[in-house]
Amino acid sequence: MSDALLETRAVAKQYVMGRETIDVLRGVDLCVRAGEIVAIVGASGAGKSTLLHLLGLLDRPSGGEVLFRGAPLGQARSSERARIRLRHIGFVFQFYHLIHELSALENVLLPRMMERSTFAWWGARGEERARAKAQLDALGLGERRAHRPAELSGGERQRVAIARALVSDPEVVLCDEPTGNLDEHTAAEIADVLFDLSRRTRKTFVLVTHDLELAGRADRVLTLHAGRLE
Amino acid sequence: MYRLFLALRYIWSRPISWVSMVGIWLSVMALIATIAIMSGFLRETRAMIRGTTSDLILTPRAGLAGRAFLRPAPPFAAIKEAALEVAGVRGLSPHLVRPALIRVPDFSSEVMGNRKYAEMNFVQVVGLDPLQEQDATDFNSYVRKAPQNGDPPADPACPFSVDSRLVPREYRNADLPVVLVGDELFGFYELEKGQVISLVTLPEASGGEIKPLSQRFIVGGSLRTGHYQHDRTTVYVELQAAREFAEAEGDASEICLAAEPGADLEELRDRLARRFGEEGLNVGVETWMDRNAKFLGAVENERSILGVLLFFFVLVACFNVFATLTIMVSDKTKDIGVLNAMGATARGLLEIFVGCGVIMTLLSATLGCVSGVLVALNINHVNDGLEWLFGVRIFRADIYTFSEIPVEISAWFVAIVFLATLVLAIVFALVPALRAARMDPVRALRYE
Repeated sequence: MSDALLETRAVAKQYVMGRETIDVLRGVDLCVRAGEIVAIVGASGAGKSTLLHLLGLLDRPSGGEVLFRGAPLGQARSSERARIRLRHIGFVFQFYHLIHELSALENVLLPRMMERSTFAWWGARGEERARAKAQLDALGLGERRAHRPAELSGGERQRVAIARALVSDPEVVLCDEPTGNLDEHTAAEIADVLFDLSRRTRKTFVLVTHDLELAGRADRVLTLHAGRLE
Repeated sequence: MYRLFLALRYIWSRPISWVSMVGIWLSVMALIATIAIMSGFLRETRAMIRGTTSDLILTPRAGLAGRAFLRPAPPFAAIKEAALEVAGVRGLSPHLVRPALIRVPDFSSEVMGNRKYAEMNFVQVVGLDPLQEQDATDFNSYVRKAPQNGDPPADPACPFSVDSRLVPREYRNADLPVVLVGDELFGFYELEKGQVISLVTLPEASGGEIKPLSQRFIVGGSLRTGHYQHDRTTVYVELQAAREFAEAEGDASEICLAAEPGADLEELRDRLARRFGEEGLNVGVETWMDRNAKFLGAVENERSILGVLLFFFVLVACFNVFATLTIMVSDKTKDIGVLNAMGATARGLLEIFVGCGVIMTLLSATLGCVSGVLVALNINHVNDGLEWLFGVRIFRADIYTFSEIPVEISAWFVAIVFLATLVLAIVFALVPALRAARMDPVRALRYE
């Protein structure tokens, strides 16, 4: 599988709650190829978000291996995993997770700031602002970029979160219930945005959702059940 | 870049950060202003003491064996001769000092009966020779200072003289000795030139019954050293008059010694002690600082205690930074998760929150240092302002011998306070910042 972008090999995840050990994932094998949209569905508590966090290098598996472009990252240092997240992975969360103190534009600029030192930023800030504005314009938020998250609707917030995830041109975008906190109409709009972006940019999307209609639009749908993918 | 950007935004958007900054600002300001004022007081106190004490003080001592006198104290002439052979000695002047009670007609009974003023009865009588005094002390300059009651100052060339027309008729031919009274005492008793007062002392220790010695003196005027305590408790008479009044056997109870300008007083003290030892003269030698070591030490100690106490305020203010950042890290738990997801490293997260502490402290400590210096420099205007606003005067010139609050600002001290505050705040900021840096991103994202 030369075009495999993200892989899990026999990934297991256990949580210890007092004396009890909970096996959330029991040997998950998954291969996500570049450019495809993969939806992972499952009941609440099935471990969908846990799998997404492992794919996004936010968490380490209890067993098995997570690979990015064929390279195992189990033993990688935290800073190396952070660098991969910064340059290659974008996240979209169910509750947007925008930073309240920042405007929509500043939220989108934040990953770009992370890439540059203070001095380098002052040299490139015009270019970076233009890039972030273009990203917001593309998502229909040109008029809302100076607004704080509290001044935006749920759909607008999620668009800002999508813009933030895409602004650094990552290879893969991991979406955790991206429509789970939206009304039906807005959820459909956000779904359209995501699939449209995926088709246009040829980026890899991994969607975790319990919305079967949304999942149905993906290239592949995988079901997580009893800690295993089916 | 994101670290500085987020740190500034987090501070700017949280009123509690401003409260912490105001705490550091005020505590640093109070510390710097207070220490500047205390240093000013110390400087003035040193200057006052320095003004009333000669460079070195020599004390002729009688040889003692048990409680019996074996030999008398060495004479002034022998001490002077030996001292002038030591390099660095400019001049010497003999003093005969005796404790006494002062009685002012129509006044003393009131004072004697009032415990509040009882201490005003006790004085030191200093007998001196105005001519020799010129070589050893600033006596002449004290005489020249105008008395508080508006009288013209005494003539330094002939201080122990008084216009006979001012003396009551019944004492004009009595040939009474003249006394110069410390300015504060002069003011307290509302004395006038030419007025007759009595001094009472005891003779030098001897066997048998002790009979007090009393003598009338004519007030020749006042004398102002600037040292409140000194001016309240000291009267001056001519050396010969003092000997006769106290029936003293020796010619000096202590000797004021002036050193050449720039001389190392401690080294000179040791050389003199060696010289007197070689000559077999029993003479105690001390510098002006040795004599006032306890008093100066007390003022310095007061300054140190105030400094330590006020630094605790700074410590508490820095603790506020810790509290503010702890709340901030709890509030921003989800942000920490998101920043992790975006690619922030643990070090980056640490720097955001330490940065918050550093920025808050830099701003507030800078403001505190600048305003502390400004308050110290303008403390007299502040004093006037407080009096105008609340009718309370925090500094009363009548208690001290200086008319304005003295201030001495040390750039080193300001720098040390600034750096210490910064270091403290960084240490306090590190604790919540480390918590943020070590936070599990998955738990942070799920934090409710």
